Amino acid sequence: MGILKCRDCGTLYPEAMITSCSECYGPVDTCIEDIDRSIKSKIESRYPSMWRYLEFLPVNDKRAMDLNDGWTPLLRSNTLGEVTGIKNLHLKFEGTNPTQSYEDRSVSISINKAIEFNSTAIGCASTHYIADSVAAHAARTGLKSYIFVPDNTHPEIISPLLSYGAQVLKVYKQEGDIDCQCHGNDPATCTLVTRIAEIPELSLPIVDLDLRSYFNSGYKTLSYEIAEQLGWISPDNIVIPEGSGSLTYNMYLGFKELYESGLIEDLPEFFIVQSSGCAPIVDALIHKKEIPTPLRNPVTLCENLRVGDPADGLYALRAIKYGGYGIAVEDKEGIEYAELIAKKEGILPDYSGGLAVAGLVRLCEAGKISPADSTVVVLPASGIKKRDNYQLSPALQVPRISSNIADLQSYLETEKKNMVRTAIFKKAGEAAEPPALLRI
Amino acid sequence: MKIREIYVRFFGIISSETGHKEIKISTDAKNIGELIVEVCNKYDNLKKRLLSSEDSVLNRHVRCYVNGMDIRLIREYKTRLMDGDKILFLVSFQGG
Repeated sequence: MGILKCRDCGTLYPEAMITSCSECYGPVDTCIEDIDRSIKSKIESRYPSMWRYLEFLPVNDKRAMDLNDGWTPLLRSNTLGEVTGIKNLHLKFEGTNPTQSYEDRSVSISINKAIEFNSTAIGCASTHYIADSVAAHAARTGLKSYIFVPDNTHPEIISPLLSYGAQVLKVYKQEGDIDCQCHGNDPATCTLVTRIAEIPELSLPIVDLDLRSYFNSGYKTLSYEIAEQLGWISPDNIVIPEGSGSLTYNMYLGFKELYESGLIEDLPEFFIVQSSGCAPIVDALIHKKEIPTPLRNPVTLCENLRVGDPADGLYALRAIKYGGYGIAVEDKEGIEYAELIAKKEGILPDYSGGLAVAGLVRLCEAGKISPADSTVVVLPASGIKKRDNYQLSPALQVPRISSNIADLQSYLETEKKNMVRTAIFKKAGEAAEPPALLRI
Repeated sequence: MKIREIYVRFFGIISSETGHKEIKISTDAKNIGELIVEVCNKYDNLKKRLLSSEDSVLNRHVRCYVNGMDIRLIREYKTRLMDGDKILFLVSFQGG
């Protein structure tokens, strides 16, 4: 079922593992067959996971596996709405996915496709969300997984992968490795996975390379869910923390498919937030470049956003052209807002989620987003996943006490005296100040 | 005129246009821009895909590396060539 279509020249292909169009080398996307509004009741009758949108997904009915990916909560904000001045603010929290990140959606589809193509193994080069997701989903299906990581990868990253039974391979650098700014920015693993694609007899598809067309369609399910969770209504704005541009472009496609199927009546505007240490897409937007200029050695604590050469940057910019904007925000603000979201909303996003909310505040201040609009911010992953990232947080300066109850009593009395704090800022105009709780 | 020996590798889909994964070229090309034109003249099919409609400008989906360095991060088409340099062409890809 299904066909593939070149994003640039429109050449059509039958289902296969195609990384690029053979005519123009452009990326290849999956296409959906004609779907109309009548599908709505069918979707609503299904189990709440991303698989309820089966007709939109490039998989056969008899899919091999399911970890109940997706159907993550769309939480109406309690407090951030006041901070930003937006009354109708929702947070799409991807931290409740099986491995706590949005990548579960794409990996799940890719692995089902790998099985359809009779693969017995699957691979990826990642030290982050994709690695965890591939290891977990492969374990569920019985596929062998190979995770290629840089030679200096920390044991804390490798350990859970081994628990899932993944074969982890540290890849050390050789002369002539590609100075890659797109694939985890690691030259050795980047070179290796590119070469794996050269040798089909290895039969080791790389989830986001050989299965890229299918992988991307996982991101679209975020759009389907947001629309359905809002009662088949498109929000006015979507705010997305972005690295490669893929999430924005594919979420745009997802909403476009719903619109063309008659399931929603409008399209949202897309707002991209990047870290100021790695903002090639925002830079291109500001300087009116068609294609982002690559960055060498991009710097950001948000690992999932550290993409100096965004492969889908050009297409993310196209999605923004239909309405929206982009902004770069300091990592420090992202960390502060991640903490604020945790304290005020009860969910702990990763840094990139904090960055997205920080970006939202800035966009409101700049008048790019109206407080009267309905806005959804995508929080890509749980912050619990990478506790080591929080070592820079002042909150980690934890007081020590003895088992003597007098110690606790003394501590609580001292704390009570220190509790006089300025209130968390309440208006968008005051948001330039960092959250008060981090200025203690 | 100095002749240089340059190693050119084609990754993935690009190698199907040349029929080779790697070739060695003896060339007087002084920079990568001149070498790209020379390689394209050698393979007709490659020329129409590797270059954009503007002459001598790479298709936006193609990345070119000189000794592992993306030419866009150094001196682009004016990147000078030395004897024994290793050139690589591949189609851009994403990852995480």
